[in-house]
Amino acid sequence: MEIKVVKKVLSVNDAIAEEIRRLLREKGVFMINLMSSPGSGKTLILEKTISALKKDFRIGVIVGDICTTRDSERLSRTGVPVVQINTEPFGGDCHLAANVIQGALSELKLDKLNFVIIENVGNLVCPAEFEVGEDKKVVVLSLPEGDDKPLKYPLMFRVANAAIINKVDLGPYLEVDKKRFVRHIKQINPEIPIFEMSAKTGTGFKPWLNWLKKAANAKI
Amino acid sequence: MHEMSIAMDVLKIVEEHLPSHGARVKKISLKVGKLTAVIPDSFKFCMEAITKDTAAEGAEIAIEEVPLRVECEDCGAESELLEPLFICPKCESLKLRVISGRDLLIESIEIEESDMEELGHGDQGR
Repeated sequence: MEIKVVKKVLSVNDAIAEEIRRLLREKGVFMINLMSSPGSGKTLILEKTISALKKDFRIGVIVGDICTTRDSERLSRTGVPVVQINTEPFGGDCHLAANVIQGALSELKLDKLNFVIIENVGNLVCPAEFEVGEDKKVVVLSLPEGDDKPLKYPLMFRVANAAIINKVDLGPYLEVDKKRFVRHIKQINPEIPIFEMSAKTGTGFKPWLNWLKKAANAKI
Repeated sequence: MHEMSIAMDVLKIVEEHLPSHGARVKKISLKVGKLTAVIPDSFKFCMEAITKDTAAEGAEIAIEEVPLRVECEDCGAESELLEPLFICPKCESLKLRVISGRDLLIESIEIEESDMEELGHGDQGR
């Protein structure tokens, strides 16, 4: 006997993401989901972003890692509330699903915030598949990873609303063509804004902050 | 390995659709789009692992791949993209809307007939 089901596998996740979206709209909270490969410099970007924006916004952070609390310790030093999620006790999950974000948001005391940053688990594959109720998805890559990465992880670059190419200060030491890097991203997502920066030296950081502020102010 | 959490969701949906307690699943049919981050082989591996000792143990996992199809907002042409390069094959425009390829659906499940007969004949004694 055949039973017709026709159900989206991720419908449970998507329904929770929708609940989160409603909650954030109600509370006037802007949320970004920052995704990248491991070691792209996401945490340093966040440290500097939070330091620059915390006088204008009431920021909270959700950090996902398979193991350790190193990132949340680093981010806590910026003085904003941080909730750490270790996915390892739940089977080493490689991404943050909507139900996990929902739990983390309830710990963050949303009434006191208007800007939430999710630092997703370092991974260019899995997080792309899971909606978590965010307003913007941002993907971070770094120059040393090579200009073929966008072509290898098309879904991530297709769903992202902005892309950061970090560590451009290493350009002189690498045989990576930055123009090709940008072209490959645009082949997958032609309209996407791309920020070439070095979080370490501060080069190119301003346009990113301006984009982020504009996106947040449009909602708050 | 998010295939594992997807497999868990699939099993949950399958179990919700079982007609009766004790029914056994023979086959699970899914549609998986080209533009998803799901690798059929790892997904099948996860399904095998996770269905052990459940109603779906040993069930065939049939995956129909859904091509990545787009519609051009400039020339209106509908095309299939064989690579994830979002350029209209007709007019080279970059303004494309994805029509299909993001799918991740359970289409149907097949239940073993013998179970149904057994259930149909009513074995309340057990």
